[in-house]
Amino acid sequence: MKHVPDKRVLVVGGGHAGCEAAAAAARMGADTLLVTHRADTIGEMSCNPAIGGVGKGHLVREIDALDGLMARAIDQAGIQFRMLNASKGPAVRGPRSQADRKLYRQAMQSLIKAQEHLTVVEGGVEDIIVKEGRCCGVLLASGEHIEADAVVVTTGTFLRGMIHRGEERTPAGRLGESPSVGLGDRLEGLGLPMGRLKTGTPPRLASSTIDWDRLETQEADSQPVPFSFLTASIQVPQIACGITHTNASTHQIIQENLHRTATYSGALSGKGPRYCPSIEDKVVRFADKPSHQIFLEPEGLDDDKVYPNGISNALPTDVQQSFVHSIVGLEQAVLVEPGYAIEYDYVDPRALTRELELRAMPGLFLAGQINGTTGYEEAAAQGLVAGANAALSGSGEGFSVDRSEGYIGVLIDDLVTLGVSEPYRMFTSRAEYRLSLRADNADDRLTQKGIDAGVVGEERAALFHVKHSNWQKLLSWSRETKLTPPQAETIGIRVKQDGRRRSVLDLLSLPDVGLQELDKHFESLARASTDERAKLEAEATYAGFIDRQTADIQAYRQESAMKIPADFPFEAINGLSSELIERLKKTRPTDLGQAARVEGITPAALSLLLVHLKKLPRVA
Amino acid sequence: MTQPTLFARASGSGRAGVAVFRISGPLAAHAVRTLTGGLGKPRYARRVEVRDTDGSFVDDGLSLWFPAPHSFTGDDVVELQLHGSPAVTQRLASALEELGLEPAGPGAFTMQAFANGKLDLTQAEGLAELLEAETKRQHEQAIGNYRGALRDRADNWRRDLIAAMAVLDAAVDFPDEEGVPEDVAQRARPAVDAVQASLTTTLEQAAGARRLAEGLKVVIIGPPNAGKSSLFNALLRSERAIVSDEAGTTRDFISARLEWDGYLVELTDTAGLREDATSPVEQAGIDRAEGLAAEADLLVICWPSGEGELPDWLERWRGPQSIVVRTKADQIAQLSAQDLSLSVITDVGLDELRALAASRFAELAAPGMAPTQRQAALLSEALSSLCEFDRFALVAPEAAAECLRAASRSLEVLTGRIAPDDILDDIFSSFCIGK
Ligand SMILES: Cc1cc2nc3c(=O)[nH]c(=O)nc-3n(C[C@H](O)[C@H](O)[C@H](O)COP(=O)(O)OP(=O)(O)OC[C@H]3O[C@@H](n4cnc5c(N)ncnc54)[C@H](O)[C@@H]3O)c2cc1C
Repeated sequence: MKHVPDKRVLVVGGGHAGCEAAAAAARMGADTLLVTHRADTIGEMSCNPAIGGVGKGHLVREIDALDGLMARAIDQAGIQFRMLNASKGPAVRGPRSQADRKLYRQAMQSLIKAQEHLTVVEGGVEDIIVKEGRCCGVLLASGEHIEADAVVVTTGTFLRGMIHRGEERTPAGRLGESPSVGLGDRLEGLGLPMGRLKTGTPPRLASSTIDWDRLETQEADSQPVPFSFLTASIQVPQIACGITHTNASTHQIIQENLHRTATYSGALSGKGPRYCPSIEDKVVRFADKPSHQIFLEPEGLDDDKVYPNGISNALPTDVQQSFVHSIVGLEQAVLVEPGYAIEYDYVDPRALTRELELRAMPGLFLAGQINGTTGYEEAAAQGLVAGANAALSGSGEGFSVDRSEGYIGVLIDDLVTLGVSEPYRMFTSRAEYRLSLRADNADDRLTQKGIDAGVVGEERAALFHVKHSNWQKLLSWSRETKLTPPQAETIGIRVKQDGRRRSVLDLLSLPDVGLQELDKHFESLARASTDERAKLEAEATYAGFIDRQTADIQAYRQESAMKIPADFPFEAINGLSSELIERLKKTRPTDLGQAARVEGITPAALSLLLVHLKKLPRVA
Repeated sequence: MTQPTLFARASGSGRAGVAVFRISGPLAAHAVRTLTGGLGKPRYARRVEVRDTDGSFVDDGLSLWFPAPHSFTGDDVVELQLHGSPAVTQRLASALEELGLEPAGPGAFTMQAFANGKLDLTQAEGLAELLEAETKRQHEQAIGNYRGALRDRADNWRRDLIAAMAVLDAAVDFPDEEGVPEDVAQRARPAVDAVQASLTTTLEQAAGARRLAEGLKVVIIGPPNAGKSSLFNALLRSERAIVSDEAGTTRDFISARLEWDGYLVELTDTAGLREDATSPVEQAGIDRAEGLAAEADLLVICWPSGEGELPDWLERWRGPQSIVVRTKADQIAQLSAQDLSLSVITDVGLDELRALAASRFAELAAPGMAPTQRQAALLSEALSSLCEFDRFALVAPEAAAECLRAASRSLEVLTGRIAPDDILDDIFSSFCIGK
């Protein structure tokens, strides 16, 4: 394992991106400082108390494969584990769990505390220190200067944050916390391309005032599957969620008060996430839908607050109250905290390199919601990459994951190539190599890479080697254990009597044969872990595709190997429209493959670029 | 790197009344000013005297000036129309080379046009075909490709497949959402079926379109002295011969290319067939004739009028791809009821044969999308990915989506999303010099 000697990395912000960034830099051996407003809000979930999901769960698994913290924290705090898409193929199964917010904070804070080389400093960062064009420290609100070799900024929604609720506006980073104005001004002063985005949160309800008996419920999985490859089993008690629906009168109340919501009165200009619309948006955009589903998610085991997932809004408090009371089961519900929308600055991520360093300011890295993403998992994944790179800053080396290696690679490549037009959230459909990038094999894909880079600690490295060789053994066993047709018949599987001997894997790939059928006959299968079973299933189900995907990945790597020099003069290509030249200059793709993914690039433009890169016009 | 200025005789080599010389690149204007003393108004013909650098007269003719970007290559272009003698060509070339210009290699102007964004890859392929077009119908078809017809179609297929993929992906990415239908594969089906059908038709038509592009093979067979050669010659006289025969390499057969009702046809006269060959040499000729007959798009079987019915060994060639002609119809009174009677002396039946053949050509060689081999391979690849959709739709939606992703990827490569070097080289090397 490598170590980065005598480097100091300073991370601003103790949210999901900041925690991973600080821990990753510290694992790399850098002397790391985590500067955040308050140590007791480290690991705070600003919104929905849940981790994972389809695509997001994949990210958490990858963070864990690189020895990050998120998976371990949720394993100690998850109160409703569910495997989403359990009935679909292994590639799209996504682990998700609701969290007890307090347990999550505690788990995260203790992981941070236990991390070697990592110190938490309470304070607000007002500005960065720049010397000779390089960022080399920060200035705190207290007036104190802290020097560092690299700085990672992960301030989430705090950059010039503004909370909207009805007609009220309150400058804030999150409810009750003040925004970062100085830092926002400073980044703007650097001439960085910036924009405004918005997001919202629902009111919190008092659990004791909800009529649970009248509601449907959704149970946790009977056998919770941990997120972390290090967790043996989940010890936290599991609970159920309630489900209710909006109705015609809810919609009417909202319709009648649209002019009073910040979102529709024109006060809010930032763009919100299309995939996670506010209830005002749903009522307007899907006017013909008579009702919308609401999950009632308790915020903790001994917490009276309930998060009603599905009704985020920025209506005035009295309107929130009356529409909530129109909903079955919530007639008497007390609003502990009303919902709100928050508008904040983000930096166009096309200004970043793949290492998440600002091209315009070496030594300054950005990660998390500040880059235009939404969600804890997206933030954490970027934090890990930025932190590792901050530790490597100036060494000439970098750590990056590509699109064929992981969702982390898809996320970062999308951000730095395409920028964002709305808050970016991960989906499996964003990953073109989806069948290979599964939650079950995240460690096979990434842990060795992390060990080589120095971001994976010794304990996990040792464990990984054991696990990996066990899996290899199981895989060979499943390929080498073969049955004749009559033998298959004896365990209840009918195949053609063609004398061909079929391996366990072959049998598993038959349409009506599942692992359950084979378990009782093969002990090695019954004993296999959930991940191992999913991997076997993937090998069997996707067999034909994996080969093709491997060929596609090869083509992708070839495209990536065609480098574009950092100072390549895109404007000198005659045939490119000025609009495309602008886009290429904004993204500054580093290779032909990335250029192909820049928005609006046509095949013609791309072949042009290729011709110019190869200086081909001199065909003899 | 400074961009070279290229020149070439764009109108083919050899003696000709007029030859067009194309000069393209940054030095074009300078060169023409030096050689003709001026440049003239853009896109207007100008009468010029061409003198080489030491002032001696080379030729007089016309000059046309196309300033960038409004030119074929997108660079500054001048075209000179001069007398097409080898001497003028030679002297102009040395004068231009003296000024630092370079002779253009095959496809170099097209490559410039491509590099300036004037053409995309499928258009460049269409252009190569356009320049090769020999007949009217070939020409129409190549124009379609040149204008991007195949690219447009591929883009539409891809768009529809991506829409179908979105239906499947919605079910995968929003599992807890209400209103995402369970039977997503069924909902994606109509779009997939439509693309599959359209791809299939395009590929089926492709064979016909290729026949149009490459020419139809018409082969004349029959016993010795059945009047095959006379028929061959009569057809040559009445249709427009494109390249007069160069055969004679063997005495087994003789071929000619001609334009037959707008179709490019390669007409072949074979050695006489008979039941028992008298020598090994004759047997070899018969074997070859039979080989040609088997590959023909249209077979013209000759059997003299008045010799009764066709013998079995000839009769067996009769079929949908053949026309039986009873030759020497002038020599008898009783004409065949079943077959076409023809005489090259009285011209009886000749027009009928031509018309009959032309209607067969129309069935065989329909103008349409004529993908190149590279393009056809990618279309088949896309099609075979789609054929797996149903099977995988049963397994899991993400696997079905993968079939669609693979198909749309093949289509992307078709339109040149990433064109590996070798493909570029391949395409541009199919041009002749000066295009
Ligand atoms: C109201 C609201 C609603 C949301 N709704 C959703 C949703 O529906 N779905 C979804 O996926 N995601 C949602 N999110 C987003 C999700 O919470 C964030 O994407 C994620 O928490 C971002 O992580 P982060 O590390 O970038 O920032 P955060 O978790 O916000 O952390 C920022 C940290 O930086 C610290 N900080 C800020 N400025 C300074 C400074 N100058 N000096 C020192 N410390 C500083 C703060 O104290 C805080 O600890 C919502 C967020 C909010 C606020």
